[in-house]
Amino acid sequence: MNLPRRNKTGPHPSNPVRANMSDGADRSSKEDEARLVGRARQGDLEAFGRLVRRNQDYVYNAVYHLVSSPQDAEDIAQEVFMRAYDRLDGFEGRARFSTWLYGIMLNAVRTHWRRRARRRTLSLDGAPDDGPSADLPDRSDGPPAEAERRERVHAVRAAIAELDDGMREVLVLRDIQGLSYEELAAAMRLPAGTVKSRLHRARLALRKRLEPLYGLTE
Amino acid sequence: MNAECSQFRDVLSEYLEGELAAPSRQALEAHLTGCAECRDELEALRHTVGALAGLPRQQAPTGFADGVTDRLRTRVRPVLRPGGERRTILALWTRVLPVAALLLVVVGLVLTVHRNGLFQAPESASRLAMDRPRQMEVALSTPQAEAEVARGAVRLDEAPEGVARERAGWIRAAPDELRPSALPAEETTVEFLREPMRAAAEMGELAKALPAPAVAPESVVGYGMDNGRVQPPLKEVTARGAAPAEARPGQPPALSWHAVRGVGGRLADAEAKKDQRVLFVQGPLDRRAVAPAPVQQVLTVMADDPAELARLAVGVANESGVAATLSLPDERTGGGLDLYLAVPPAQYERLLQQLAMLAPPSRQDLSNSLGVSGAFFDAMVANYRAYQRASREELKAPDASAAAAAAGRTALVRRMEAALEERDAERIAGDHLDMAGVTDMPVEPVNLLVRIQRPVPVAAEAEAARAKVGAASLEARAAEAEAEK
Repeated sequence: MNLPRRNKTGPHPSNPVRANMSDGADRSSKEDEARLVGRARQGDLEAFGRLVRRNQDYVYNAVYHLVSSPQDAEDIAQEVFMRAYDRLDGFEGRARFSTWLYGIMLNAVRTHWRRRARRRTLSLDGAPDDGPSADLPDRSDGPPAEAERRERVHAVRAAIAELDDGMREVLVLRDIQGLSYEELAAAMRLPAGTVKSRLHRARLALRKRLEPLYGLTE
Repeated sequence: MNAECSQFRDVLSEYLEGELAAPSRQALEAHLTGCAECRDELEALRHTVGALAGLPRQQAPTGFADGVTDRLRTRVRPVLRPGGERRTILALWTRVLPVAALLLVVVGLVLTVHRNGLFQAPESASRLAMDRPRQMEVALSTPQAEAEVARGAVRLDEAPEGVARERAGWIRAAPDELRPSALPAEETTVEFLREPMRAAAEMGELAKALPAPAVAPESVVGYGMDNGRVQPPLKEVTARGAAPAEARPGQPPALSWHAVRGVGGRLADAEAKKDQRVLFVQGPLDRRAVAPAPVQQVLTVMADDPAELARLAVGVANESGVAATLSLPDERTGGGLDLYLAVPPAQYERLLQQLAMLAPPSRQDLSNSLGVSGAFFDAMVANYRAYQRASREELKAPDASAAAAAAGRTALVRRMEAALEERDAERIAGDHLDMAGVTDMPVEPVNLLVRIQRPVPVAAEAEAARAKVGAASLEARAAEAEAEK
């Protein structure tokens, strides 16, 4: 049950669905999570598996849009949870589990970006990254409205993929994942002011890319 | 768009999120009523944010969570043995074996291949003690571990007559007291005792297969114990431009590697312990901590002939001037071999690629199973800061070319500063590798564990092995083999 949120940083304008729990969520759910974490720390893989299931969708969604490659997304998302498992000792329960997980996710994604960049310079990267073109809709199927919607989705994803890494990070985490500014600042380890200005620039950059396709200023 | 508009454009995002304080908000709204361009801009922004929020949410693919737990499960993890079992075994040892203390610590072996040495006749033990290097141990990174190894290391001149020199090198046979015949026929202990003998023989086989080395002496580095003192760790040796552990004039360069024996076991995984990673040796009966060593990555490779692949891998490593610590093959778990490499960061990526070429992609896996330990992180941060200071000094230098060279590193320094500020361990680790490429400051080596394993052992063998020594350790190995099927 998601209670309406109105905190210092304001409600999100487009009110995206939040996959993780809101502040007002059941206490029992949080206690559950704490218990699972405790058992996972001692090596209980089954408990950890349940933790993964509770968090896998939003992590996967974030990774998917950050790395712009469905092929890599699953692997990297799994890597996120494996790292989380190894670092459970470091989770003291002070932060939210999801915020902590987002921090690990960002590290994993950035490592992936760095490796990709290095591989490119070493000319070992064979195929170019397909990115969201993997989503390319089959025009022969479905009603025109559906095809148009899919094309639009594809265009937005392609535009996201073209952004600079730093801007893509903040855009995905805020405007797709719906993190609050506090969570964003914690996960990215940046001051809130930096986050806000980066977000604004990222939105402008995205808009610029989408403009020719959709004539947003008409 | 005029100057007034531009100041309002900057706050449009905040306005959209309801964050503008009242005075600014009112000013903006007033402006908007009169400015169509800014209204359009606001709408465009709203549209953009809406488009993002409206993207379909991807769900994790089916089996995702199971994939994670499977991958976690099939990593060889340290096994906790039930307390009762351990007590029984220890009691047996202390009752039966006067040199139990020896058995509980690491005994190191040295195998060195010299081209000329392959066909000489065996020599006596005393001569060996004089000419050959003392045993080599894996490099240790804490005083406690050094002390432990020092306690347990058996010096060559204490070895009984039975030190045999194989064709390829010197292998220490187990001292007399440890021979199976001296002991009651207790299955587990005999099994354990047979290990050193068989392992030593296997090591001889492996050593015979090593190729003639092709590296210049000055590029071969190794760890070593000299008169009981542990040689400095790899980073200092390389910074000084490395002398090999056993340079002999007129001798061909040596392919240098050494074996770690933990009472006949194999290098198991490394376990996170606070700020350290501990390298464990899986013995036939128990796990024993060998030395704390930060393992950053684990490369697992399947090979039908692990010894052959190990030979190639050692050769590849030595070509980069990297010594390999090799575990003994462990037949009970399928004859796998482990190589532990401490690689200078500048060579790491390349060496990894070369190792990865030894087997098809479907037969290998690379994992960052352990992340960056706190101690490693702090050491890297210290290196960073030193590098920053050095760069800043160079920038001030009156020498134009030095200043230009230093200026060329500014981008790297800025990235490092940002990474330091954000305490982003992963980025620092990455920049660390870059930094090593542009400076010859000593940096922490990157530690790689290469696990070479046979594909799926026959189920019956796995079952029998499990029965012999019991324990979840073997189950973990069988499960790993199952998962690899």
